[in-house]
Amino acid sequence: MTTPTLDIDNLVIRYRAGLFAVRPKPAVNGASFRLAKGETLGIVGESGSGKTSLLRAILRLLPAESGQIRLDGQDWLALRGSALRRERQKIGVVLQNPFLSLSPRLTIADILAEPILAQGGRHGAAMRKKIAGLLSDCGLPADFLDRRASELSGGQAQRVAIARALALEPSLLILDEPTSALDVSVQAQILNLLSDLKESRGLSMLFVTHNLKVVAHVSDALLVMRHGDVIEFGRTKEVIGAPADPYTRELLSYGRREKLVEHELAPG
Amino acid sequence: MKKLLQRLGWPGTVALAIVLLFVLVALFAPWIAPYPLQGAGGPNVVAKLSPPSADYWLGTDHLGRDILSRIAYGTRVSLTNGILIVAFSLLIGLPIGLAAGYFGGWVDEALMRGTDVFLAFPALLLAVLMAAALGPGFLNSVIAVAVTWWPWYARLARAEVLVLRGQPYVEAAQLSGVSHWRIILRHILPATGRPLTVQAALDVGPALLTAAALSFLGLGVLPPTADWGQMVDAGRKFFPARWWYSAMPGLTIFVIALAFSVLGDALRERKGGTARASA
Repeated sequence: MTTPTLDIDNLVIRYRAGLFAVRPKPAVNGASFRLAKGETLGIVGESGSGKTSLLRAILRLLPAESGQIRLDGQDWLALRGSALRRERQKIGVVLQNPFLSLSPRLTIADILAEPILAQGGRHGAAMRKKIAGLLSDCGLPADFLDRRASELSGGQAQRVAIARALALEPSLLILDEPTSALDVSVQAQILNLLSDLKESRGLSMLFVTHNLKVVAHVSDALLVMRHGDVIEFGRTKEVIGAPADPYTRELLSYGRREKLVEHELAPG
Repeated sequence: MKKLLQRLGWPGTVALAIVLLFVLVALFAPWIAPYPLQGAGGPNVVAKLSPPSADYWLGTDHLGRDILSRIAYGTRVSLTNGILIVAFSLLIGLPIGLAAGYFGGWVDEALMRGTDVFLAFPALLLAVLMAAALGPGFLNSVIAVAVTWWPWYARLARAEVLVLRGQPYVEAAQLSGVSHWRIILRHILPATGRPLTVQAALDVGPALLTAAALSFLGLGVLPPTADWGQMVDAGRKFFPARWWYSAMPGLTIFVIALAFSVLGDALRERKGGTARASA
């Protein structure tokens, strides 16, 4: 068996409280899972379930209290400083709101060039060609390069964000609610783009969402979180077909009765 | 341009015109002043302490120098004083605020508690203490005021950076391996620059007011260089019989301070934004 792209073992994340405060319950309580090369893992859970904390720990924006993260077999949590900065190119990230994740001051060309420059690339014709290629891979013509994010539609902006995430040819693409800020028709286009990219580039993806329907459509494996615990992890078909946990069944039945919207709006 | 005037409203427009007028006077003082030699300090004892007249519109001082010319020359000192104070303060405050806001944690704590120490003293008192310790002189008075001034910019910059730091596009840059330096230069600084420079431009008024207060106390520019605060002080001995000596430069200080303050209010109101407690 080849090494999985992402291998997480018993990861615990706890937010720090004051010096004398009672230690809070961990935001992620011993999560373990694997993401095989070229597969998509969907992470589902309501707000406050710990999925965002898990994501931020993988992105090294949050410290992990204990446990292990291995990326392509490498001890990911051991990296520090400039070594970490260099290795960040292995993970591409697409965030929820494309307009907030693209700088309003820069042109699309500058936005796409930024990660390449950060990893030692140089300005010039080759760079221009490379970023134009990235854009066209994401379904946008090269004349978008000189526009700014504010001139794009939500779907176009999200395509730019995906192009940026792919700029450094990462082995893992992390998607944090990539479609929930978009119109339904555009959502489908973005999902199709993602599955095309997965095919053509052999990407592994981590797809975080609270929308079970979306995730069932794109994932090979599924992980359900609630209150910081992983309550279900398995192949998508198995989880959907025979959910082991009552909460998963609840999520699924919401989906079937088209009540997902209500669920999304639930406070949390 | 038209849009700006519309935004300012009529009080703001008048204030802007007054500020620009003072800038012009400062630039062209030798050509505008009716008696450039006296403005530069040359005595004219025959006409000493004459009241306002057709020859001397605002009267003359105890050495017979035309007060209008002295005020015109004093504009140069006062404006450069104000601008230098603000520039020095930005130079210290901006990097400190940027570092505190960007890195957070103990860096933030250390820098901001240090900043608080300076804010704990009444600003003018601290400036007077500093000026007295450094001794009178143009540069010393600039340094003395700047020492009390920079904490405001540090706080303002920090607040701006804190907002930017949480922006997803800044996070996205960090996640693609962009170094802190590049993030600060490309994403943080351009966005904090604008509100901060607007604030700094408006602070030239209060800054030169403080500098004038120092020179009134004899801690600023030394004679024979013309300076408003120092003129008010010199005229005190002849007040109220020769009222114009103190009143004219005093009035000038009042007008320019008011103009800056009105201009600042006009800009702030329309922007609905970044007010700060003024020193």
